[in-house]
Amino acid sequence: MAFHMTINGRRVDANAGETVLATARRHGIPIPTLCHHEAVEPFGSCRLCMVEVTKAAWKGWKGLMTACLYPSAPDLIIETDSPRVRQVRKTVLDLLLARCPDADVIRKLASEYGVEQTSFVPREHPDKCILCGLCVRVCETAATAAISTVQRGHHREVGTPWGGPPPDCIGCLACAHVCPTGHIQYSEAGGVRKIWEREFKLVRCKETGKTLPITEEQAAFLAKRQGMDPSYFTMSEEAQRTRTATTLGKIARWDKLGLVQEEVKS
Amino acid sequence: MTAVATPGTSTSTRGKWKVRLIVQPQYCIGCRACEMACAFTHGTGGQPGASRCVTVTTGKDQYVPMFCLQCDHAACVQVCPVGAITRDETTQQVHVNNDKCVLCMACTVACPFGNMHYDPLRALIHKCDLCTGYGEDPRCAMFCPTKCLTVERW
Amino acid sequence: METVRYESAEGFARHVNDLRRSAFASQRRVLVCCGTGCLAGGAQQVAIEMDKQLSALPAAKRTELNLVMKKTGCHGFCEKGPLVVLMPEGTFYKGVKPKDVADIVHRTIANGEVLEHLLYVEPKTGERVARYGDIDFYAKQMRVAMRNIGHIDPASIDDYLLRGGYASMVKALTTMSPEDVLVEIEKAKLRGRGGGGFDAGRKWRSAKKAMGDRRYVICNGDEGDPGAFMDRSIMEGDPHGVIEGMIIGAYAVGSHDGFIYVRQEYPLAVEHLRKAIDDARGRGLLGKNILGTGFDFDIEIARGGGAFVCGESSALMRSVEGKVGEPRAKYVHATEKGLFDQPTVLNNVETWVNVPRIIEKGADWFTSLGTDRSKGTKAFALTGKVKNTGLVEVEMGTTLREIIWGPGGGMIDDGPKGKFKAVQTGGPSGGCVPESLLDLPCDFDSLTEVGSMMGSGGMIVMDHSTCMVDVARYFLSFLTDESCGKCVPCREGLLQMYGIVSRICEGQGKLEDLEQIESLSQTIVVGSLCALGKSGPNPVLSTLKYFRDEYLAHIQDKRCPAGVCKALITYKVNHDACDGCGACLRSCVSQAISGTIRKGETFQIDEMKCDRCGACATVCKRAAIAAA
Repeated sequence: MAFHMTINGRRVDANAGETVLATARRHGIPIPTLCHHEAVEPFGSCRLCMVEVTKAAWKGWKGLMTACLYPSAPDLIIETDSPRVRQVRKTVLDLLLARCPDADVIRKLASEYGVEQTSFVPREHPDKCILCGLCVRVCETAATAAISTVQRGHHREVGTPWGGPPPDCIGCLACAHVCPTGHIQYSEAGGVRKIWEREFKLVRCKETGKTLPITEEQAAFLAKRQGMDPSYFTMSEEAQRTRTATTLGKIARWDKLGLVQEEVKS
Repeated sequence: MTAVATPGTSTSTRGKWKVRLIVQPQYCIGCRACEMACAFTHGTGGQPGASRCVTVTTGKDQYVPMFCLQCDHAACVQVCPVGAITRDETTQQVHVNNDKCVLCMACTVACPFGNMHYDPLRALIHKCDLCTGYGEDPRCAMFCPTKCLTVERW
Repeated sequence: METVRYESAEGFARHVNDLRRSAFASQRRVLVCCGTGCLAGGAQQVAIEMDKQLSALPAAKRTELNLVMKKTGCHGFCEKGPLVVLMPEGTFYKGVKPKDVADIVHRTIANGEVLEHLLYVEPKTGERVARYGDIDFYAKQMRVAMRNIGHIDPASIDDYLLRGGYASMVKALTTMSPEDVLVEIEKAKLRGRGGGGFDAGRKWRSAKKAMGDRRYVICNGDEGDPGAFMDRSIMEGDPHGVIEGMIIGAYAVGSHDGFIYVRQEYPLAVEHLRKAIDDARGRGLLGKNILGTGFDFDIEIARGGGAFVCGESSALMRSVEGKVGEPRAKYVHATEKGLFDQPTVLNNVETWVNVPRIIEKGADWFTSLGTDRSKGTKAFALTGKVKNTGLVEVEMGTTLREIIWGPGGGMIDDGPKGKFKAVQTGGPSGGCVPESLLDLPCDFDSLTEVGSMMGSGGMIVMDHSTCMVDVARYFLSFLTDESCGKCVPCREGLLQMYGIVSRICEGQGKLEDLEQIESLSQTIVVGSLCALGKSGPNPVLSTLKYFRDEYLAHIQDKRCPAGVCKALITYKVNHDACDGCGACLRSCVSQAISGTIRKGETFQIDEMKCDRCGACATVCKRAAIAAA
C-alpha cells in the first residue's frame, strides 16, 4: 500500500511498513547513521538519524524522532537537515569524539558538522568502540549470539560470557565487518583466524588444500542452521569454478572450434 | 547448440523484455573481452571494477566463460544467514543486497559453481547481474567477438 | 479461618455479611506497624513482645478485652516509628520500644490509661495528641489510595473484606460490562500516578482496540526515585487493593494475564503480594472463572534486578521477558505492541489502587476532587528538612506550602540555616522549586510549567544548609549510574554534565561551563531515547534557573554559600575567641592545625592539609573555629 509524504519539501511516495529512513534512502535523500545496518533490526542508539517530524494535524508542533525507527505514514512532513537536527547531530558527534577520539569515521563525521576537536572532556584510555551495538545485533541475527553488551551506563561495553573467549563464537567475522570504527580486530595467518581471543581453523579445499574464507565452525553452523549438506562447504571457489567449467566444456561442441578459428584469422 | 541459458531482468532500454545470456563455450577464444567489458561496466569514475565473469582455461585452446547461473534453487540464497540474497521470480534473477551483506563469505563457498566472488578492494560480494540497472544489454555479449556470448530476450 | 471459595457474587456477599457479624469483626485491635520503616526501627521486637504480653494475660481478661493484635503495613509516619495504634479508640503511640509494651498492655489496653510519654507532640503547639485522627499529619490528609494501610493486616484477606474489599470487583464483574467499566475510568479522568500522568482511560481504550492474541496488564512497582516510598507502602500494606484494581482493569480491556513488577529491593512487598495472590486465588477471586462469571484472570509477580531504568515502561517489559532492561523507542506504543509484542496496559501501583474506589463511588465523586486537569488525590513522600517526614496523601491542587507546613509540620531546624530554601519534587526527573513558588498547586501540570514535575510523588524539602549545586551533582551522579547506556545523549551527555558540575563543586568551574550545561542539556532533552535521559537535565536546569547566584558563587568566588562543598570551605580560627586550649589540634587527623598551647593567637589551620572534616569546629568549646 503506497501513500505520500513530504521530505525536505519534496513530495515522495512511501510504503506501509517502511521507516522514514528507508523511504528517504530509496529516494536518494541522505540521512547519516552509525548504528544502522540492513541486516539487523534498527536500534535507535546513536541518534544521528534524528529528523524533524510534523503533521498538519499537529498544529505546528514538531518532534525529533529517529528516522531508522519512525514509521512512514501518510502526510508526514519531514525535515532531515534543519538547524535543530544539525545541532543534535553536532552534539552527538562531539560527545562521541570525546569518547573515541581515534575513530576515523567519527572524526570525519564530526568534521562535517563543524567539530574538529571535542568540546568535552575526552575519555581516559579511549578505544574505538562507540557502543552502536551492531556487532552484538549481527551476531544474534547471523550467527550464535556469542557476544553481548554487559554493564550499564558509561560502564557499558561489548563483552563475552564471564569476560573470557566466547565459547559460541564461530569466527565468521560478521561483527568485525559491521563495526563502523574498526574497533573489532582479527588476524589470519597460516590458515588460522584469530578473533575475540579465540583461534579458528579455516576450512581447506578438499581438492587443492587451499584455505577457504570460512572457519570449520562456520561450516558446521551454516550446514545446520541453513539446512544444507556439509558438502557445500568443502571446496574453494576456484576449484568449484574449474570443475564446473570442465564439465560445461564437455557439453560444448568442440568440433566447431576449427570453424571459429578460421573466421577469426580472416 | 546452446550450453547454458541465464535469465535476467529488463532495464529501461530493454523495456518490458527480460534477458538471458546464452553461452557457447566452443566459440570462446579466451580473449577475455567479456571480463574487461564487465569490469569497466561495473566500475566507477572510469576505473574498472571487478569482473563478474571469469573465463576458465579448461584445455589447449579450450576456454569457458563462467558467471552466475541465476539458479532456480540457489545455494547462495539458502545459505545467506541474513537473507541478503534473494531470487526475483519475475525476472528469474538472483540478487545480492550489498547493504544487508555482512561479508561472512558463506555464499562464495556455497555456490557449487564458483560464481560468487568477493572484491577485497571494495569489500563487496558480487556476481553477474546481467548488467541490470546499467542500461542496455549484458556488455559481455556486446563485446564478445565470436558470439560465444549472446543475449536472448524473452 | 476456614477456607471458603466464592462460586458466585451471592456467595461472596453472604460470606462478607457473615464476617461483618462475626466476632472477628467486633474485636478491638491493637495495630503494630510492621512496614519496612518501622521494622528497621525495631517493630518486629515490639510485635513479639506485644504478642507475649497479650498471651500472658489470664484467659478471662482476654475474653473481656476481645482484642487482637494486627501487624499492619506502613502508616506513612515512618520517622516516628515504631508505631502502635489502638482501635477503635485511635490512641496513637510513637517511638514504641519493647520495654514500653508491658505498660501499653497493662495500663492502656487493660485500664484505658493513656501513656503521655509515648504520645506524639504537635510541633507547632507543643501539645501532646492522643488520637490518631487529631494528629495534623493525618488529619490534613485525604487518604484514598492509602485508605487501608495501617488499618489492616496485609496478610489477612478478611481484614480487607471487612473494609469493603473486592466489593468493587464484584460490582464490575457482575453488574457492569467491560465497556461500562472502561467508560467509568475514562469519565473519572484518572491520570497515571507513576510520573507520566497519562490518562489511564485513554491508555486502556487504545489497548482494548489494538490487535493481538493476548492482552497484558502490568503493575509497575519498580519505584526507583530516591526518597519515594508510596508504592512500597501500598504494596506492603494493602496488596489486595492493587490486585482488585488490576482485576477490574483486566476485565475492562479484555486481559487474562497480569504481572506485578516489584523492584528487587522490596522483599516484604513481594512476600505480602504473594500471600495476597494465594489467598485471592484460594477464595476464587483470582484465576479461572472468577465468581462464576466466566472471566479468567491471574497475576504473576516479576522481580526486578536492581535497576532504576527498569521503571521505564518499555525497559520493564523487556525485563519481564527475561531480556536486558533497556528502553526502546516508543513510536509504536506499548498499548499496541508491548509485553511479548502484545497490547499491554502498564500502570503504576497507586493508579491501580485508585480503580476500585472509582468503581465503588463513581467517576463523579473522583472528579469532584482535585483540579480541572488533575483529578483525585496524590500520595507524596515528604522527606528532608521537615518536622514530619512520611507519606502524605492530599487532594490534587493542594499547594506545596499547605503540604509542607500542614501535615509536614514545617521546617525542622529553627535556626538561621533552617529557613526554607527549596523543595525538590519528582525525583531525578524533576526539579527544585524555590520559596517564591510555594503557593503552586501540586498537580500534573503546574509544576511542569516551572521546570519541575510532580513525578511519582517524591518531595524533598531543603533549607539553607543544602547546597543546590551539590543537589544537582547528586542527581547527576545517580542518573549516570542508572543510565542503561544505550543512547549517546544520555550515556555520554549526562556523564559529561556530571563532570562539569562536579568540577564546579570542587572549585574548578568556569563561567563557560554554565553555557555548556545549557546547550548540552538541550541535546540531551530532545535527543535521548527515553524519559530517564530526556528529563535527566531537569535538576541542573531548575537549580540553575532559580539558584544561579549559587552557581556563580562556586565559580567566581570559589565559595559554597551553604557550606557543603568541601573543596570550597575554609576553616579559620577566630583569634579573638581562641584560648589556645589545643583541642582542635588534637582532633585534627590531617595534622593541619598548628599552634602553641595557651597562646590563642598562634593557632593556624593549614588550608592545604585540611580535609574539611569539621572536627575542629565541633570540638572547639569557644566556637572559635568556623567554616567560611
